[in-house]
Amino acid sequence: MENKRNLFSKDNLGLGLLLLFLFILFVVFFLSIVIPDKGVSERENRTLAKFPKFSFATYFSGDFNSDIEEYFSDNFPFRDKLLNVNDKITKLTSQFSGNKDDGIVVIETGERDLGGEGFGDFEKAQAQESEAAN
Amino acid sequence: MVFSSLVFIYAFLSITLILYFFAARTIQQKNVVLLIMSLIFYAWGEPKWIVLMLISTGVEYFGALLVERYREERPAIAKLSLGVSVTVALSFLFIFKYFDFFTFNFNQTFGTDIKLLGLTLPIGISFYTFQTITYIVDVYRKKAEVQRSYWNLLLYVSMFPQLIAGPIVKYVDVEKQLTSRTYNGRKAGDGVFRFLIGLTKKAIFANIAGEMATQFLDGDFSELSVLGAWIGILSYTLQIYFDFSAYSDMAIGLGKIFGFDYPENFNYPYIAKSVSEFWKRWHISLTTFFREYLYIPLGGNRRHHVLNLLIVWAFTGLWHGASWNFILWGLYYYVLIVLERLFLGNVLEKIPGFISHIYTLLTVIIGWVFFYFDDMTRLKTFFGILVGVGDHPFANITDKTVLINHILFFVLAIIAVTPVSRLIKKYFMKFTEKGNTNKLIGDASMVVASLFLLFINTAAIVGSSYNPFLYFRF
Repeated sequence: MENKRNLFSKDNLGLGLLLLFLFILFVVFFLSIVIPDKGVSERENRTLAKFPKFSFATYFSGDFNSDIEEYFSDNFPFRDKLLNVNDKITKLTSQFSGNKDDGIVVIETGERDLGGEGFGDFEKAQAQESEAAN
Repeated sequence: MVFSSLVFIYAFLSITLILYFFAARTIQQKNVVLLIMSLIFYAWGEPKWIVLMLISTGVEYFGALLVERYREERPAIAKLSLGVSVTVALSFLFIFKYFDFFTFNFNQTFGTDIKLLGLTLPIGISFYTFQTITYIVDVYRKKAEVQRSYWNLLLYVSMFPQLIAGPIVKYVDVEKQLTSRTYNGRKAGDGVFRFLIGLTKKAIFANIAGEMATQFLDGDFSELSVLGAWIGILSYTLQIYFDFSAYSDMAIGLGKIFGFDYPENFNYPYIAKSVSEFWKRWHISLTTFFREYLYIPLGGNRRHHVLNLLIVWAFTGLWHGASWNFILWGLYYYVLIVLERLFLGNVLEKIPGFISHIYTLLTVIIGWVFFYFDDMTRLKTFFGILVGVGDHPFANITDKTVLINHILFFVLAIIAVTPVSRLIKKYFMKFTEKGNTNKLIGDASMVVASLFLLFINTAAIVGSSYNPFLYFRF
C-alpha cells in the first residue's frame, strides 16, 4: 500500500512530467534536424528560409542568429499541420485576425459585392487546395 | 532568443535540460552547465555586449572583496569601494540607456551640439545592473556573505531564466541556492507547468491583445472612435500584463526546474483597490528594489518623505525607458501615491470596494496611455479622443466587429487576470484529496493539461511565422 502510494506521489508525477516534457522537446528537435528541408511552402506560396551562411560580420550584428531562428521555424516539423491547428485557435479567439495582418478588416459577410466569391469562399478554396497538396 | 520562440524551447532548452540532468552529476558540474548555457543564451542575442556584463560583474566582485577586506580596519575604504562599484555599474547603465536622451534634451535647451553616442541598449542591462547592486550593497550591510568565486557571482547575474526580463532577483534570495539547492520531482513538475502557463500567456493571450492594441493605437487617429480608443487602451492594459507576467512565470518556472526559488513578481495587480496596492502587486521585484536600495537609504518615511517619494517615482519612470512619457508616467504615480497617503487612501477604504476598484483600474489604464505613447502629440490627441474631445464618433462598425470576434478571448482574459483561476485550482486540489481515484484523475489531468498547452502554444508560435503571399491585396 505504501509503495503504491509512492508510485503516484507528487514527486514522481512531477518527475514524470519533466521527463515527458524533455522527451517531447528532444524528439521534436531531433526530427527538425533529420527531416529534410522542404524549400518552398505551397500553402504560403513562398520560399522557406535556408540555413544561413556563417560569417563574423553577420554573427556580430546578430543577423546570423536571427536567420537561424527564422530557418528553424520555417522548417519546423509538421509546420503545415500546426498552422492548421493555429487557424482553429485563431478562429476561436479572434475570428478574423488572419485577415487583419493584411490590413483588411472584414466587416460583415455580404457588405461588399464580390460577385458571389467573398473572402469566406476564398479561404475555403485555399483550405481545399492545401488539403489536396497534403 | 526569447522564451516564446521555437529555437529556445525545442533546441536551447532541450539541450540545456539534457546536459543539466543527464551529463552533469554534481552541483558544481550543474552550475558549469548553467553558466555556459546562460552565456550562450546571452551571446545569442547580444554577441558584442556580453563583455560589458562580464566586466560589470567583475567590478562588483572585486568591490565586494574590498568591502569585506577593509570593513573592520578601515571602514572608509570599504565605503569608498561600495560607492565606486555602484557608481561604475550605474554609469554603464547611464551611458547605454540615458546618455543620448539627456544629451539630446541638453542640446535642445541650450543650443549646444554635443554628439550623441547612438549605442544600442545591451539586452537585460537594466535588470542585471540592479542585481549586481543588490549584491554589493547587501555585502556591505552584512546581509549577504561575500562571494569568493567570480563564476558563482557571474552565474547569479547571468542565469538565463531571469537575465533579460526579470524578476530582479536579490543576491540574498539565491545566495545559498548557488551552492546547494534541493531538487525534487514536485518542484520540477511545478516548474514545467508554470513555464507552460507563462508561455500560454505570452504566445496566445499577449499576442492577441497586442494585435488589437496595435490596430487601435497605432492607426490614423482621425478615424478612431471613442469606443475604439477605449478598446485599444484596454487591450494594451491586458497585453502588458500578460506579456510581462508571462515572462516572470516562465522565469520562475524555469528556475524551479533547475532547483532555484525566485520571488514572485506579480500578484493579480488588476484586482487592486488603490494605486498603492497596485504597486504592491505589479512588478514586485522592482518596487522592492527601489524601496530597499533607494527609498529607505534616502530616509524613507522618516525624513523629507515627500521628496523621497518624488525621487523614487521619477526613477521608476525613467527605469522603464529614456523618454519623457516614462518620466510623466512615474510622476503621475507619484502624485496619486502622495494623494493616497494624504487622504485618498482613507476615503478608498471607506467607500464600497467596487468603487475603489473602478477608481484603481481607471487610473492604471490612464497610466498606460502615458506609458504607450512616446510621441507627445499623439499622447495628447489620444487623451482627447478618450474623453470625447473633437469630432470623433462614439463607435464605428470596426469596433463592434472586433468586440464580437474577441468575445471568447475577453472572457478568458478576465478569468486569467483575476484569482478565479486560483479558486478553480483550489477546488480542484480539494477534489483530488478525496481518495486515490480522484488523485489519479487529478494527476492525469495535470499531465494532459501540460501536453495540451505545449501543443497549442507550439501551434500558435508556428502560426506567428505564417507569412502568406498576399496576392489578393492588390
